[in-house]
Amino acid sequence: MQEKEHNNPIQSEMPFAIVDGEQITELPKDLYIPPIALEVFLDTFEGPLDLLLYLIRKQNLNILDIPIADITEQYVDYINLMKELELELAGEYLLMAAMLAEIKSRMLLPIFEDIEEEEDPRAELIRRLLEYERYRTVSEEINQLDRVDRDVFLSAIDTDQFKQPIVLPDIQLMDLVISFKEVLKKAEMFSTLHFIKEPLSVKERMTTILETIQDKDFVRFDELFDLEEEKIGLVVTFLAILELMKELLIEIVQAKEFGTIHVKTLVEKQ
Amino acid sequence: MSDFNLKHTIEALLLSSDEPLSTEKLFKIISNKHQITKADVLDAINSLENDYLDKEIEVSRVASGYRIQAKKSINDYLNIIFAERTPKYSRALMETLSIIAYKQPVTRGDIEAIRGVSVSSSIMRTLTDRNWIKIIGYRDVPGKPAMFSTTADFLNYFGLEKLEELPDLPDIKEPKNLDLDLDNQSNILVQKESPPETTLN
Repeated sequence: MQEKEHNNPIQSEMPFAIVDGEQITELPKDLYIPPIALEVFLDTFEGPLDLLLYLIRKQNLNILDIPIADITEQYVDYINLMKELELELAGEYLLMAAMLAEIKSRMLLPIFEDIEEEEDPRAELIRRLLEYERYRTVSEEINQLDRVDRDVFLSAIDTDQFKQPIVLPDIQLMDLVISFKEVLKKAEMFSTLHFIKEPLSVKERMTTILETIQDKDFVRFDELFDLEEEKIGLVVTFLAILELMKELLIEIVQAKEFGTIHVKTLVEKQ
Repeated sequence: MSDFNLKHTIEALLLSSDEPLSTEKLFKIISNKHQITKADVLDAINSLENDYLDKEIEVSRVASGYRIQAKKSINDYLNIIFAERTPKYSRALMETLSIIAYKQPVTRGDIEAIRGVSVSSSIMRTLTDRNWIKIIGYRDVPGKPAMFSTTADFLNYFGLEKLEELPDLPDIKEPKNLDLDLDNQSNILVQKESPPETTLN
């Protein structure tokens, strides 16, 4: 507290700005901005268009007929001041200064009658100012709308206690390893699961068997197998026998328990 | 089943919900258990509104549905409770938001063209974080700039049901008039010089 009181008188005597080493305690008189407004709104401009609109409206100038020379001068004064006060100046401000200077110089050029529909050099700037002003105005209106937590307060029953937490199951590292193993196993099955064309055809074997038993009444079951063949061949023969039985082309007979099994053709002999 | 009261159920749901509830949503939630129609839901809400006439709360309809809020008559007290909760938004943010609201879908370039300054990334982030704006696509021009539009949450926040309820965008004095004026001026200039020629012809 004491420190604050001590500092205050010194601060009020501080120079307003330092220009070329000179201390300035008074604002330049040729500025059209009232000093208080300048101090308060110094950094509140939202860009060059905003600043220009301020300058125009402040002096009740007709926006459709801006005295471009005056405005340019005021604008440049202003941004010079901002520079002196070491306010960070966005590039857009300098761009606008250049644009104003260009308009100003074009206004000085004589109008040639043979150039058709030459636009007023200010037209584009005026269009932009008007367009920006629309949104600036409406944004102030939106700012006045009723707002949640400022003008409107919502019912807020704390329902957090009712929210059911979603409990996720604990996963042990082993579970993960086991599921990964299963994945690997599955992948392996997929990798080896391919079909090999059967070298031995059951149909063909069925024909062979039928031919073998055609002339005889009975053939011993084991005689139908060619033991020279590998296991796969034996299985094919067996499948062929079963298939023939199913199609009722042969009959399997066994005279007594544990006795020899015989195969008998059911196809009528011609 | 017999002591089920649709109006009271809806009231409790609206009071408890973090966000506004639409008739469709209320119907969906309640019709799971009870045989009701959408008309029943609307009737219940109407009846609720009547109940609140002599209370300090009201049912308000915004873009996402219905919500229950305090009447403005007690804002003086509420402002004391919620003094710290009132967020302030900069003019730059409000201007950016307005341009998106009225001109949507817009790109950052569109916003810059109107405001004459580059679009602040932090403003766009704030608007996105508050879920007031969202990217709805990319314009089919070189660079494929993102196009922004406002959301239902934006309308909810400002207590609006639809975009049409936003304040009217002020009319612009047609630049056409301006051109006409300028033309007249230049015509005068030309006429001043041309009469001798016309008489010659």
